[in-house]
Amino acid sequence: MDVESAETEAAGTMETGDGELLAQYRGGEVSALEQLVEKYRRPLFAFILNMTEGRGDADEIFQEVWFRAIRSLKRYKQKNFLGWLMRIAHNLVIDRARRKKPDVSLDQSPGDDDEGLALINRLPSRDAGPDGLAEAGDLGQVIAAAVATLPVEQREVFLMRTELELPFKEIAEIQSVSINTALARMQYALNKLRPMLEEHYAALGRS
Amino acid sequence: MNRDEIERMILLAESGELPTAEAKELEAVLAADEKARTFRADTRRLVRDTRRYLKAEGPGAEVMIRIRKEAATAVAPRPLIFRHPAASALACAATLLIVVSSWLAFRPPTPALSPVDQVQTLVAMVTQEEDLSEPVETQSRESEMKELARQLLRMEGLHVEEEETTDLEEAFWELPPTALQVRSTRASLAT
Repeated sequence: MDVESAETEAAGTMETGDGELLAQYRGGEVSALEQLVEKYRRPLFAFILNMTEGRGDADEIFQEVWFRAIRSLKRYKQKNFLGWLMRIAHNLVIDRARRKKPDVSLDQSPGDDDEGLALINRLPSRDAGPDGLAEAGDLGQVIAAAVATLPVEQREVFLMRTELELPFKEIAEIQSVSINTALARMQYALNKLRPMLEEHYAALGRS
Repeated sequence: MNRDEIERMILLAESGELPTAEAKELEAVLAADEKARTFRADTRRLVRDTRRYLKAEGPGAEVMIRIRKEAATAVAPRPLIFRHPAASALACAATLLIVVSSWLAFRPPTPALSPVDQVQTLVAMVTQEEDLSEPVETQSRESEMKELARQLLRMEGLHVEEEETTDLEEAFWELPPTALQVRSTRASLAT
């Protein structure tokens, strides 16, 4: 519980920082917004990249998220800036998915569709530390490929929780579902990913 | 508590959203349930490794440049005068003043008839009717004049009662001749 309290406290401090930066930007300091963009660049882009079909799409959506955020900042009154950004990103990702495959339900699992498996070509960053770069690269690719096989909603919950560390309450609001639905999606995602990664972990001899 | 409920409680506990009372309950479940402990351990490992290894380099440099440009354009500083808190209120007041002044300056002139003018107009109309109509008897002319007097006094804001006809007639004749211009009519009545 101590770790959780510390995380919550850290999140609160982070939010205060966001509010201050937004106020500075509204006051004319462009560098304040640049700090915000930099702060959320990696997790936001990782989320978008793993929710779309390639780097081109991810670049485009990432840019559009910030354009929309900048243009709507006057109307922004929420406390959680990252949650607000994620709401914009979620809408854009869903719109893009519908445009590309209008006849496919968003709940449908990729299954034998090879769209998700193409993600295996996305290389993770190599900051694995002393465990060994090659090993880390393998695990990153395996996780990316496994995550890509999840249905869109489950993948989204999994990435929002792991990459962006959003609470389930926030995730449920973004997806416009109950918190129980968000929890169930995460549960299904984990129970699909666990056996897929089990073999890899066994081969690595890791706990 | 079934398996789904236990796993969802574990997820809530991991995200820091599980109430304290339920957290204690979960601890008891975890102590006795090996499957629950395995689920929690697997979840923690998967989340940790995803954060650690599933990383992206970030968007291209051109994207970042475009975002910075948009940010700079959207918050471009306005001239000092427009930044004053009362600037917008003053601008509204000035606009309103211009609109009202323009309307007052260019509105079409509306003739305002004084009571005297109104009486003159009425009498002129009566006279004109006299000229166009057939000659009438003195008695009927007299009743016409009474009616005219009643209308004039009504225009002046006085109530006309039937029994006050005589007084009205007197009041009518007391009106200034210049206002009425009915001298010729009065003379004809006298005869």
